[in-house]
Amino acid sequence: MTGAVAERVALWRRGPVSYRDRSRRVSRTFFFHFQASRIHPFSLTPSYTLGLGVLSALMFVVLTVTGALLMVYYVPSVERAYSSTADIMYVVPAGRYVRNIHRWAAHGMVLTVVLHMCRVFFTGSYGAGRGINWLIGIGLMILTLLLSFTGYLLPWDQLSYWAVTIGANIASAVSDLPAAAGLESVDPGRTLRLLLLGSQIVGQDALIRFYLLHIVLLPLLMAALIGLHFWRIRKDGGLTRPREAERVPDSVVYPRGRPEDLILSWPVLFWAEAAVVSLATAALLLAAYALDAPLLSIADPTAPENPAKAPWYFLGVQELVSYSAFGGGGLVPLLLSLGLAIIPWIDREDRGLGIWFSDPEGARVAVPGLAAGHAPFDSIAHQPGHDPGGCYRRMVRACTPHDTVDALHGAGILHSEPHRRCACDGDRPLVPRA
Amino acid sequence: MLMLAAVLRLPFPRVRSQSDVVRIGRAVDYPLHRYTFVAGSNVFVYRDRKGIRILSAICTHLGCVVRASESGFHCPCHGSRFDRHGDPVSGPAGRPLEWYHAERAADGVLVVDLTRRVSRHRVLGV
Repeated sequence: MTGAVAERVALWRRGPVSYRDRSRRVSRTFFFHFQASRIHPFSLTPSYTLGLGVLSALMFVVLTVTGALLMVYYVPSVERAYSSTADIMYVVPAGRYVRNIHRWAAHGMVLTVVLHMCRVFFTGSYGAGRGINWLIGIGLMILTLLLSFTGYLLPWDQLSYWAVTIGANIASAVSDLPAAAGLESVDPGRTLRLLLLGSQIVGQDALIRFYLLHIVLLPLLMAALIGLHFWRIRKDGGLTRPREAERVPDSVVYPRGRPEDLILSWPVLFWAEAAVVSLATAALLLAAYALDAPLLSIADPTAPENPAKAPWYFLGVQELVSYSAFGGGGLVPLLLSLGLAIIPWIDREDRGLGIWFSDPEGARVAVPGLAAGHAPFDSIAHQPGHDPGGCYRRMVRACTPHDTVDALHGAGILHSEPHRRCACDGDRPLVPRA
Repeated sequence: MLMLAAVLRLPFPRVRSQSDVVRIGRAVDYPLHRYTFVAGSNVFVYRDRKGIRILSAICTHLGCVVRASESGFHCPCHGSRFDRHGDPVSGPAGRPLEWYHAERAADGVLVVDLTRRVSRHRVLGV
């Protein structure tokens, strides 16, 4: 690449021109040095990474900035939490917009983190010594979910109050374990509940603890783990790539032969990242403009919200806890996390590294595999026998003819069905679907 | 080491800020032979000729507030059902609703201790 071309594509007009300058700019600038000064060209393939890691990090930055803005007016006391949130929505200039961005970025982050994990899984990128970074990634996913959950309580509306009441009771369901063994006096759930809520019920002590977790402890931990995650990518030799990609044509590479088959990060990598960041930010700003974050009525400890519906990423857990508090809220998520964590040590071959579905069989397995992942939830949803338990189960039975249930599940339609009031109000007759 | 252990005790409060003892008015104000919901303290008061009994309205599954229905009680959150004695009939709840200790204060007002569980047969005579 000649100096003139390099200058034309530089991020700033007076950007570095020589290779040496371009390399130094990256390694000597704090915000750039997270990146390597040279990367493999394969890492720039948009269809490989889909920019999901960058997107997740972007969401965290957006959440930090908008969260700090919301803290200007939010007051974490039971008397003022709800009214200060309402003020942010209806009085504070641009308050509603900032809160909407915060909400959609929170949802977006769960989405991008999960998709990022899928990408890493389906390309086998946990292999070749990247097991530790896979574990850090699982930690980051758990932190993302915990941040969502702790943020839930802060507006102190009906949804907040009952979601956290139920969450705290799920946590204290660990006591079912010693109780099942006949040790009624051992009550770890009560201790855990006291630690989480500072009391046995959701009140002022719980609000201040959740606030502390949401704005200080969890974000600090998250920032530290993100740093570690980035650092490990570098130490593990950059993004994964297929073996065939190791050799690239001479014209593209470092001109003095190809010591590592690498290209300079400046400026192409930064252009690619800037594009992803700009597009995502635009989408976020549009979503926040068009769709308001909900604020229900103020928390009422005497009347649960009906139906109390969890956000989309907790719906599976919500249905599982309506089956068993300890099993669905504790055991199943724990086993799932452990199962995810040991993947790099089960799949030890690096043959398909860096390739989406290394052979046609992979793709054939992935789709039914995803469907099978839903199967436990679905089988619980219309379990035969005498147990008209959770809202979802009863909705399934009451609102659809029985023989169509399986077909709907197969097509994935039933999951998008909202919880219908008819099925949750036990005392009213169930209205069959027309 | 000892100091670390001492500091780790910090998040476990020694004093509880919420009052566990609630005053719910006079016994005669509650109708006979039915469960009356007391909103502020999440209990049902059952009064008959023998006296007063206090049933918790907190679902033993995940802590939602149950509602009285034709056949007993029903939890809106996860669909647990209890019969008229608070025993679980169906749904995820496995334990019966709790019964609380009640006594009459000097001024005649009923006082319920939400930390003291009693047998379902314990009646406060009126």
